[in-house]
Amino acid sequence: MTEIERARQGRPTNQLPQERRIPAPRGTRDRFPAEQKRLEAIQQQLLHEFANSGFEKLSTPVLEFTELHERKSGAAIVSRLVELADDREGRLCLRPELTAGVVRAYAAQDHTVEVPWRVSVAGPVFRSGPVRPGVDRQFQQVGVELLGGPGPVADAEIISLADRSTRALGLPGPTIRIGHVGLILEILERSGLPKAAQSSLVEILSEAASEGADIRAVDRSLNQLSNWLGTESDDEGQAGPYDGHGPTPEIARLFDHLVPNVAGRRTGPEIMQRIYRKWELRRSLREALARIHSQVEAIAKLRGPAARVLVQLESQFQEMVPAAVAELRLLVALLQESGTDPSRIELDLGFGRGIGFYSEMVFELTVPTAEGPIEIGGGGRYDGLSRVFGSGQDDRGVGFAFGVERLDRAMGLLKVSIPGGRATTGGCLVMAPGPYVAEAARLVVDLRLAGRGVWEDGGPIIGPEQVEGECEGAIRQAQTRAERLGVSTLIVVGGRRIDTQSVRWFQSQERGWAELPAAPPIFLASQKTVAEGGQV
Amino acid sequence: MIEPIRIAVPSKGHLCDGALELLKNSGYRVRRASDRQYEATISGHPRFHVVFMRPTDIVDQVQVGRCHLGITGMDVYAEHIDESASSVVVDSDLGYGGCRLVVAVPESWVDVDHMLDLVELTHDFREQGRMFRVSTKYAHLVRAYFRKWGIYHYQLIASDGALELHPSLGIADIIVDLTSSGTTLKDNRLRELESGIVLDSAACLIGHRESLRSLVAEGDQGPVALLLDALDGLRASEGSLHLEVVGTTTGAEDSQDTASRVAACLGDHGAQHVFRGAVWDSDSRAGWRVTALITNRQFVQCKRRLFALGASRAVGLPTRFVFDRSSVPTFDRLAEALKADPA
Repeated sequence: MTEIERARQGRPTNQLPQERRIPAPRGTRDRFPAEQKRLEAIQQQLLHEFANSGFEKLSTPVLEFTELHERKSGAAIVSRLVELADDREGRLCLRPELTAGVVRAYAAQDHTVEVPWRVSVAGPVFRSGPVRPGVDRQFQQVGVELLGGPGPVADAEIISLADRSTRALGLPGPTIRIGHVGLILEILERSGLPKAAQSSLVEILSEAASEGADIRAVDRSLNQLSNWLGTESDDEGQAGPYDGHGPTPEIARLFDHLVPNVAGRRTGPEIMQRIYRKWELRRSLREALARIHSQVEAIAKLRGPAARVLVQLESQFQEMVPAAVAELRLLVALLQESGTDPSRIELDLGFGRGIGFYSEMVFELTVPTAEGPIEIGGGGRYDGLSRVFGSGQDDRGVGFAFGVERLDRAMGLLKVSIPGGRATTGGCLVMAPGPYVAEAARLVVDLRLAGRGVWEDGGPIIGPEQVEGECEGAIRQAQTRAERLGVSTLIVVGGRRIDTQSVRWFQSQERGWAELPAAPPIFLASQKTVAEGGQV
Repeated sequence: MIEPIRIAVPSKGHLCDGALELLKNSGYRVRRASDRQYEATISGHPRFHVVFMRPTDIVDQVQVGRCHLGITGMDVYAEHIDESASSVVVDSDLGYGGCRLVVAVPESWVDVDHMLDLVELTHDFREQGRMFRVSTKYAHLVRAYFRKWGIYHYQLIASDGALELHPSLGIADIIVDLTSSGTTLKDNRLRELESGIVLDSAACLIGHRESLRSLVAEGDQGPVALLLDALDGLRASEGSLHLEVVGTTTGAEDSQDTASRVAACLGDHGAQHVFRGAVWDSDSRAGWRVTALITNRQFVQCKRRLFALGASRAVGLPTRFVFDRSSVPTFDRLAEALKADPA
């Protein structure tokens, strides 16, 4: 046996030593062709819908500075960042969601961007956290952002696009759950709590919302605040020596006596000033916390069909948040006008949706399945976010993202066919026994040249692949392989010359394979091109 | 050839001493010729191969699977590992090396006693255009803990030396460091914050996930099962005495009534596994006997009462291993966890 013949036969892989397998990192997984094809088809369909609504595709880095998310994304996101080693310019992380990167890109542009700025974005996002079946650390999102768009009109455009895109995938009309974080933010703003305590409450809400809890979760941190300042145990009238006018000279002297050495970078007066602030807060905190508690309870009950909740909202909160009430009313009306079935719209004012950068309207879409409702995506309004990232432009923004794997799961459970996601049928596979693989390789090149890269039916040209043996058994083996690949034509090269004498053609039929008596036109064309000296 | 089970142990310090003591008392005596020898064997358990290294290296080597098991500090493990880890915690508290990673502020900061104060303080610093500084050796744990409280605006000062001086030197405003008794913090005029425990740490046993899967598959008579059972038995026996109280009956008194009262008394003092029965002395006189598991302290506290109830002798024997049918063995918990965990 010559060296070339030995090379053609190849080395049997089962003689190689078995090495340790390297798995995909925990919480990540390989998407094999069948799944990948479905996911890509879903993503393409959605991007197509977005493009038809004027959203141009944008791409942002997977790698971002941690600070981008720390500034406003909220505890729910920030606590789950996948951080990398520090870069000289700052800490880096893998993006946990798509919005912050898009808004950063909007803010980073030197020239004034014409608004409203409509972009779509798709790609992998990463979140750390416990891994369990169905919850990965890497998943695919696809969504849109509309920057510089005015309130309810832009909100309705976005929700309506999300609804339309869901139905374009063949899924049933989703339930649209709409909330408004402006209410709870306004309550906290008016509570009299110090800014830091307010932001701590918002963080708690944010984290709770990401775990599916409603705004009642704030009660836990209200208790924490209450314990912090000791309002539970102390008598109201004896909260401290506060007279409303700051530290007196006597108190200052007493402080100096009790704390003669102030270590660290804070000064004695700074510490004393803050003690006074705490005393002041302690006097007013109990009432403030009770007020917040009852208002949060009232908000959490505002859940149900849009028409009914709007009436309740108006009667209870019109005075406190007139703008939010008017916005929600207009939003619901606009959605109905744009063809969304009102029975699918549910208002839920206790719904926080990761509150972090959301400032007003928030929403999520769910579809019912045999395994219960699946949340397929959501979003909201994040006015002010671009300003937090240093932009001087219009800082209003709204957007949403779908979880592509979630959509795939919902579609699988509902047995919805995926547009363009079916396995490829058509194309050809070129196979040859060991001695003729070089000829088969030449044939593949010729066919690609003649067919401008594709087979007669537009399908792929696959090969060459080596088949064992040279008789009918080898042909059957080749046909089984072609069936697995889903191709409709099988070409077996059986000689040194590429001509109708040594090449056989098989066509997939309903009941097995039939050998074609004549060469397909593309083969004849390839022969002609070769004869004329054509090159790839 | 059967693959050896490599177990990594800290090379020096109290984590090392504690690990060797624990293994010895469990029946796994490590044979090491000198402190400078970094490999050792275990008498009577040829499958085990001990290697000595730094606690952080132990985490790394277990992570990549070069070592199948490792004993290290939970603080070191938690700092160097994330959810993607290919290692698992087999036992989070081996009963020694206990300490806390705590947030500590200068004693003079009388306005700061809770984590919520830090939330406000970092906010104030930011408003004033100043950077709040935190010295620590545990950057990841601190970041994760501060995020839980919504604290983002601070600068971490990494240092390998003594951190307690940092606030007084103005290097940092506060520190996050390990403490066990709190004395060092106090000596350096620092104070722990309420809700400021970042991590409760102790020496722990960790293992390489995939290696453990195959070791667990060797069953409940396999080497890992027997090691974990021995550690369980040893831990359960800590501080326990096997108590035996006997007495003889005098007059018309029913020996079982007396035994019942003694058993009740022991139960009241916190003794567990109390059993009683009839016995006869060398002269064939009827008597009673009560056995129980009890701590040293409980035993001493109830001693007089036992004699008052009629006991003639009470003996507390130190226990070496205690196995209780109702407690789930660590090996079983590990097997369940590995089964539930996606590969």
